[in-house]
Amino acid sequence: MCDQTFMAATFGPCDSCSKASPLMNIYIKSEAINYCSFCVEMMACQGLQKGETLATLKKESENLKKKLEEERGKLNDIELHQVAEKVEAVAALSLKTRRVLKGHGNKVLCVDWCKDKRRLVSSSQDGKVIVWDAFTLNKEHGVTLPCTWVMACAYAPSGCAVACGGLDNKCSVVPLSLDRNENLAAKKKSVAMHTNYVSGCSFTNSDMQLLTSSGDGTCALWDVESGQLLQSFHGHTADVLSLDLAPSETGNTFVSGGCDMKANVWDMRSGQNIQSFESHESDINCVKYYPSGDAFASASDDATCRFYDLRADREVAVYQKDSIIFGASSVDFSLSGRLLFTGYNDYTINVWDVLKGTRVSILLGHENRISRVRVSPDGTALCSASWDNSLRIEGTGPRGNPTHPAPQLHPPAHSGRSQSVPRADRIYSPSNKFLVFPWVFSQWEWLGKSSKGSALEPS
Amino acid sequence: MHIEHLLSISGVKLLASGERGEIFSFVLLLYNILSSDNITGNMTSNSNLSNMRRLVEQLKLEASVERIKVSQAAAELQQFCLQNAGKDALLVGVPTGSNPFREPRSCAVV
Repeated sequence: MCDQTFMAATFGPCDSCSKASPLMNIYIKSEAINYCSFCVEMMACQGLQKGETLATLKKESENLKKKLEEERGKLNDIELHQVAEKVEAVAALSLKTRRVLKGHGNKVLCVDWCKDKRRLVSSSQDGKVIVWDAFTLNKEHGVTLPCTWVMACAYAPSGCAVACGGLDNKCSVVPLSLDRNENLAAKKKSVAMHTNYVSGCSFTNSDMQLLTSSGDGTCALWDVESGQLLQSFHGHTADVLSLDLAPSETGNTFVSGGCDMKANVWDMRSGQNIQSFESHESDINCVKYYPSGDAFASASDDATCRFYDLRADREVAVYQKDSIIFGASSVDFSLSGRLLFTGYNDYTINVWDVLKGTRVSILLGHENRISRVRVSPDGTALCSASWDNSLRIEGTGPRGNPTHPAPQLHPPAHSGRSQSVPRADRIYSPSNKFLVFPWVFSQWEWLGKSSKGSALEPS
Repeated sequence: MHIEHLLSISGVKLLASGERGEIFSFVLLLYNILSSDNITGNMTSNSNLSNMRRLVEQLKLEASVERIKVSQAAAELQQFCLQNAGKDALLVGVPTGSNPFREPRSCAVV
């Protein structure tokens, strides 16, 4: 259930009629009002204008929606991949697993990089939040939260604290201290309170403010020091699963995606929903801004990722393939925005060329679904967190020495229309339409390395 | 509506018998049930109406957003990509020496 208004059973004198009765604590334009239920009804009736009924309002909204589609359609003069035809194709990527971080006892649900480009914080289903040093594989800090399913974690910009939240409906901030013996859990501070699980959290440009998204359908901006709610964002009609802040220094917008299949862009100061995009066919699991801040990508359970431009106010690209039938759980852009890394529930990460809309590479190696992919702040590495309890860090090989692409071995018939990555390692069903999970592989390899692939060539 | 009637009737009956504590908890219990069921009767139509009004206001706001052509937006996205492609380590790779994630090598002490 989505709580558009925060309802709590408190008892006391009503603000308008001064009678003591059970109160409905509702928020009108972010102002808290405590009225008894009778006064709420009276207030709602007063708002009715002459001749306005549900039916007329519905018709008006339909007309407005149609008009919006028309306006957006007028500007769609060319597709992104057509504009990008003249651009050189991406050279073969040489991504290799550089580190495997093992230590979580259960599914890793979220990961975030620190601004110093080497530390990571990850959270898992068993309630543990671990801070790693990715270069040395050291576990620097570990906090155990009393709840399970810590679905969101974030590193503070200063590197001095981490925020985490999940099924406990709260988001807590834990200051990291250099003293190893100190019990971090004791210093944990609850900042955000929601009425349903916390699905995503992020610090704004400073350590002082925290933005959270929740299963109760709202996003909220909190002051870390006092725990006060600074702004709340209502507009989603179902759980909000993900949020991302605009990358600019002065930016004060963020995008959120939820189970109502909509991605909304919000203004942080006014709480207003500026733009809304509804073209996905299923829940949006993850949203991420393009590095320039003018566009964003979203990953959804309908097995597609879509790219939306904010200034053109429409979807400009769809990243999909017939062979991809599992939902996408996470997206992230590379530093220049040319590559889009997307993690799927079929245990793979697909790398797409953002401009041309084609798939450049598949990364294999995880043994369960990918929950989060994150590119490091300086763009040198990609970290992927998975339900197989581990995190993997992929980086590039040396410049000017890409591993040669795999030979074209019996490319599957159904993907003739797109440049298919040669799948020397896949096992096909007799009709060539379905793939068996690549769980047999336990190593990240660029598909060119035929030593692993030869055993499983389709006969 | 139905439940609210019941509430008022039973509330009155309990008052007559003078058990204040029970009334209080009974009222709160029923109120909790009402709120979790998202309120019946008049409240639903009023909240639907206000939802619809909010939706119409929101759509009006979105319709007034300034838009540019996709060709222009796409050109700018492409330009950003190409400008920053050189710095993108995952795209073009880094010289072996400076790769922070290279295999840790041992140093020989001379």
